Amino acid sequence: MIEVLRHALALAAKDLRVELRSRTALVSAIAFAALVLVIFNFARDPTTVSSRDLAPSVLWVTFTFAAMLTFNRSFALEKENGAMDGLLLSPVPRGAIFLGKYFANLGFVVTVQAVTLPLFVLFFNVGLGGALPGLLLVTVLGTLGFVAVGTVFASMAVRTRFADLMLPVLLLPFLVPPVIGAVQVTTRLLAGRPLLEQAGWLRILGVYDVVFLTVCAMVFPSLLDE
Amino acid sequence: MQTSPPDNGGYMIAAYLIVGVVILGYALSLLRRARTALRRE
Amino acid sequence: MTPTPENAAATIRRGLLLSTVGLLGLALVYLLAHRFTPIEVRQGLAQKIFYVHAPAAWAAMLAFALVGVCGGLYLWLRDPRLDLFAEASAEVGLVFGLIMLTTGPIWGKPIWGTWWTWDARLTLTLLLVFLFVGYRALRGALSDPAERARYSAVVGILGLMLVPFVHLSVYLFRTLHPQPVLLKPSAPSMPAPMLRTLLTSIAVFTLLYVGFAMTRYGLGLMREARGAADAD
Repeated sequence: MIEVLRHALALAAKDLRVELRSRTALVSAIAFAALVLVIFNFARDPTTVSSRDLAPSVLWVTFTFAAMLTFNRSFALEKENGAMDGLLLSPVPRGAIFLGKYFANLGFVVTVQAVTLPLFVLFFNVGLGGALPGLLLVTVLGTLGFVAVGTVFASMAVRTRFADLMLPVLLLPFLVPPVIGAVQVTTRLLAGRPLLEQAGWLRILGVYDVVFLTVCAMVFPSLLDE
Repeated sequence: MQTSPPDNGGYMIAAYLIVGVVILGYALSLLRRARTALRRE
Repeated sequence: MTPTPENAAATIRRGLLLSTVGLLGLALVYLLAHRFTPIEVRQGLAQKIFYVHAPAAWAAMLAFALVGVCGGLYLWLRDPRLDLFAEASAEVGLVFGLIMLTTGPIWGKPIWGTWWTWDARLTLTLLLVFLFVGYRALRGALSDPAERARYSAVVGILGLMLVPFVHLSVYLFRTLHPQPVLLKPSAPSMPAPMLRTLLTSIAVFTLLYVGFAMTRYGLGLMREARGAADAD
């Protein structure tokens, strides 16, 4: 288990290093997030729709869509250079490949979220109050699950000709439960409700994360078979 | 207090029509494909 | 195990036979619903849409479940016939899913006053149809049969795991959908003639699913059998 984790983290670190060199996917995701926030601000009638009402939905749409932009990147290199074979021939255990890709994707998504959240607070004039810890928790819980599914689907989509189309088509239904839960919690937290009150939804988010992370880790190796 | 049911038969007709058309349509599609597949034997 | 054209042809014929019986059954259901089932006073004739909408929902869910189960079995047993059946089930499921998505709003408008509601069942149906479409899109984009089978299986399994979460999270919203009248532990709250029509319809739609799926499965078998024969 420790072996697997060690390999996974090494793989993730490699992916992160490679991406940091060119930064294209990261920058596009961040630019996209910022753009979405800007557009949402104008895509409403400010006299009838308050930014407060719209804010949680905007935040999570931005989070999830920007995250999707980073997923295809996770296998693009392997596809182009045939590097997947190299990976499979190496002594890296199969389970570590999924975890490594997963951790790398998490790293990117969290980075994008870390940039998006302050922008969101700024653009939407959101009074965080004491809601920040809760917001961070719900962001984590809302993210862990769908990144696992996104990683699996990215590995499949990249083998098709329409990878950029295939990934969202497959992934969107899987975003529904986490986004529903996350928006519910975010709305209430921003309205000043206590974190403990959100335990029900947070539990659902947590179960979703555990179930999908487990199932994805279990099925991923069969995708690599020759 | 309503003593007679509301007059919404049109919806029922529309729904049953759609169901009939879709199911028959799909059945015919299968039949056509089956004929092609079986004929080549 | 490579399917033979003879096996495939037999499967196709059996499927067509079952489908024909199913279609006759559907005609029977139409007759029952129109002539032998009372009109619900508060909801009117539109309530009768229930007799085709609910069974279509059941068939779509059955199709979806089998796609997931066959996918899981395929990953375990690697029998290509499991993948071929999943492919068939996905196509048939899409058909019933589209029926659900069209009859649902047509039922909703007169009964609930609105074409669409984001309640648990309609939303789940919508996502199911998206998943069916995505499943077929993925299959269409992959040419290697083994790879296609593995990838489809994963989508099927993940999709099946998704269902309870969607159902739960959407249910926790207010829902306008009527509570299931059949699933109460005591006697179902439908008078006998309505129940009879509904149960008959469910049986007929199940038969239609089996007939259609078997035919479509046979077509897949034939495709693979021909492919193998051509390669020789």
